[in-house]
Amino acid sequence: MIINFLFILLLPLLFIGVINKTKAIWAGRKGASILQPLYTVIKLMGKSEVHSHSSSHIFCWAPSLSLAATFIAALFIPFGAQHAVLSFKGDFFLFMSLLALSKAVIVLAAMDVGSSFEGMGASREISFTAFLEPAFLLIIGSLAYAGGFGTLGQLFLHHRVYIFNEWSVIIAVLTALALFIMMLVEGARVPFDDPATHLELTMIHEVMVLDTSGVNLAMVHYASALKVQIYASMISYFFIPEGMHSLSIIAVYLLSSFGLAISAGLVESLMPRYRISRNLELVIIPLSISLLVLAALIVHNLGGI
Amino acid sequence: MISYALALQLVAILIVAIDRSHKHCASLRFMLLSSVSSACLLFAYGRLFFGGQAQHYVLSIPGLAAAADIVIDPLAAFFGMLFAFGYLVGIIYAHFYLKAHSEEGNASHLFFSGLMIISMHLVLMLRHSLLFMIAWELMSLSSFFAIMQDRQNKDSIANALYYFVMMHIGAAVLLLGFALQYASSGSLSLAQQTYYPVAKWLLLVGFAFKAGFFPFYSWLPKAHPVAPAHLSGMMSGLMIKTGIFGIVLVMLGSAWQPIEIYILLAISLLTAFNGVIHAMAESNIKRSLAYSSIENIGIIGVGLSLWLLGKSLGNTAMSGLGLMGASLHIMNHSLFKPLLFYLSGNVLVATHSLETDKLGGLMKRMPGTALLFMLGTASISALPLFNGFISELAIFLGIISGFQSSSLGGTLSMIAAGGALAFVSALALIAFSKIFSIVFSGEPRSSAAANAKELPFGMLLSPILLAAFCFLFGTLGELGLWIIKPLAIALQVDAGVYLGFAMVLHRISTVLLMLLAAFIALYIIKLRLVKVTKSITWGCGYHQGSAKQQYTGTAYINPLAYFLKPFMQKRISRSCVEGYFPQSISHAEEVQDYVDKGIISKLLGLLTRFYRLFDGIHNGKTNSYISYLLIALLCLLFWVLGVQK
Repeated sequence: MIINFLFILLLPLLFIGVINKTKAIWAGRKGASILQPLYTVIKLMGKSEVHSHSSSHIFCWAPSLSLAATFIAALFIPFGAQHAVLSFKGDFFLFMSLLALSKAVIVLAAMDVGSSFEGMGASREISFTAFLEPAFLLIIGSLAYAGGFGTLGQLFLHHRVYIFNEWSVIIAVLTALALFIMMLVEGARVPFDDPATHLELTMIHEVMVLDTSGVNLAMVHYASALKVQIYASMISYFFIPEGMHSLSIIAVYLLSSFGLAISAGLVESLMPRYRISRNLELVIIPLSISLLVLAALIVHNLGGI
Repeated sequence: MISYALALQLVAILIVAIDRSHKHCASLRFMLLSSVSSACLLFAYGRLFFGGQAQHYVLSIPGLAAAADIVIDPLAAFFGMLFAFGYLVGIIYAHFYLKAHSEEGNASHLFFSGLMIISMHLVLMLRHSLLFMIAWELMSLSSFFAIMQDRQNKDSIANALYYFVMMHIGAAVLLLGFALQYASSGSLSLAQQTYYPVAKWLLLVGFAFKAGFFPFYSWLPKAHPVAPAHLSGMMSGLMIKTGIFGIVLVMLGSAWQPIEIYILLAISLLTAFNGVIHAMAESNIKRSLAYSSIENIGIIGVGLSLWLLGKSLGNTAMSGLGLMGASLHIMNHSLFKPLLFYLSGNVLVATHSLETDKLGGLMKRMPGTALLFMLGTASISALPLFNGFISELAIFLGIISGFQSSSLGGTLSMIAAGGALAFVSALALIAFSKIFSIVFSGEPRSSAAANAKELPFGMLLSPILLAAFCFLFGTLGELGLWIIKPLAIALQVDAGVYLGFAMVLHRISTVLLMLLAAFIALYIIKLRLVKVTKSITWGCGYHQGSAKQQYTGTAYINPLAYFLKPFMQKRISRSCVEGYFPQSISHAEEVQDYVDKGIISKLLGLLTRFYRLFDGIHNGKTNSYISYLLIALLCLLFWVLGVQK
């Protein structure tokens, strides 16, 4: 439990740090320290805020609610522990809705300042949910189909991957792939979005928070990093067999998170950002993959192939 | 007691009909009498409902083939409770709305609204097909007259007439269904009736007209925008539920094959999908809300289909969760939809406009309305902490528990339903975040919006009440479940499933309270720490931004509109640049409902052409009418002679 909280607090920003370090090393630079995102957040905590004249109270409280919702959602996923902090049967829908809530309030805050740039970001960001929500539901559905319906933590933890059972491997690989793409979309990473670009017209997540500053910005950064880490945790749990010792779980978990961060960094280094107008077409990929998984499972269950 | 309360309502409408005193006085008196009557009804229904027994009366009217049954079972009592509560809140709002938005014809409007609610209660109780049809007709007619409050407005009359025609096509189908049922069973009673296959489908279609299922929903987006806000709220939150009530009656009283249930499920999903994409594309607030009612009816339909499918496949979890989800959603929709309609009425009163792209910046000018609208938005988008979430949770749990179904059809349909419903609920979030942020956030886009003022407290009273219930049922989900418990028992929901769901809701309320605590703590700490300075919105170096540069509703949904192009047919009218010194250019686009334009209006055109055939008969000449009479008499004479021979 303590480990869980500790990882929720510390890992997300480190994860982003590792991604940035990977990118820097690949580009032949030395790069900032992997603790840099943490320093940035600490620096922002000490700053005062500038609010727009157009903004209302939503702008003040939205980042706090977004962070609170993401944090509570993170409690449903085990972070390097045997169990999630919170879990009950059927918690997946609450988890999905908490993430949607966290996104919705940020979108409302972005629209609140009446800037066309932020409207653009808000519109793009919220359009992604239309395809990510069904994809996530179908992923949960396929895991439930394979191993029975339980809590969110169990669905990932108890999915046994046997190397000699090709079906378990297929589910794990495809689901992990879908989740990895969802991680890139939700975390506003290349190829869907580029956090390092300095042109408002091509940004998505960053352009939404142009007017956000100080503690609010720190909260937004941390919530967005936490969301990436949530997806990374879900993927990591495919590598953890059931009944593993808790210390080795921590080791495997940390290693796989590290690996995921590096691969996200490599994806960023090797791929250009997609054209904005094609983005939404590519966000459908996780949905198609999850449909594929389900189709494979049904065929398997019916005794085909 | 229910009859006394209905009689009191009747007295109220009679008083309003003969009252010649000042119209505010009359409206106040009507409101008081109606709310007392509704409170009594609420109490009476509640006692019956939570007592768990059904009341059964037999009414014998001379001339009827058999005695008529009047039954108040838990199902009727559940809907009756919703109607009584919704009307109680609605009539309070109506009083203040009519005061602020005063027009001619208030007395007749109130008269017909009262008649509408009486007939709605009668529809729930009368289980005799003839009497049921009379009450059903009374409901359609009185709501038709109530919609036409503004009789100077041609648009209003045309749309009300459209509603009238659609309701009567629906009623004709219903009548046909009841007639077939009578022909095959020989009984007019609807209590303990088993419906025959053809009659069953005809009745479903007839009720679908009222409820607003695909493809019969085209009256909703036409009738709601022209009706006064309180009436739209009551019609959308309450009256269309009589259609759902009828559908549940038919579902209970007939046998179902899995294939039929899959058809119902597919229709419900189509309804939800069509409703939500148009709710997203519409620029008129009330039309958008009307489309969102269609979406919610679709979600209720999905819940009901899950219930039937679970029963037929022997999956108790699926059927129980489907039924609980549907009934919770019926209740929740009757709370948040009137809330949003009443607040759109507030916007109309304050700015005289419902076009989202002409509004903006109302958050600072009408803080109360804006805050309540935000709560309504959160409820209808199924965000946690609000009641829409609880009912969608039940339906999604039902879907997931159907994934491991024994039949392939069950599994595939649940996959389709799960994916489609998740897509629909995400689109609902987009649709309502669009309406809220375009109307209330940013800077005003017109001078009417800039000069808007917060309305008197009376117009916020009913919305506050509704929003409080939305929040209460959202955070304490068990409370809502406790209310539908007698219904769940009466319709044989498995006790284990009920308890399991209650447990889930209990945990969820704990987590949601944690969320609230975390949010408040974070926010308060932040407020202590941070010093805020005000400045202009960041404009990429440009400091003279105007309200016209803000994102519009069309732009907001553009990424998805690009994707859903086949479903959003646009009518674009533009004047191009002409000549060397162009004086003006313009561009206007309007999203058209392809179901309405493609199927419904063509069918209506055919119907009109059919009736045109009889145009020649109706020529206005007395002598030809007399000859028709003569011909008819002669025919009768021959017929009688023929029979006697």
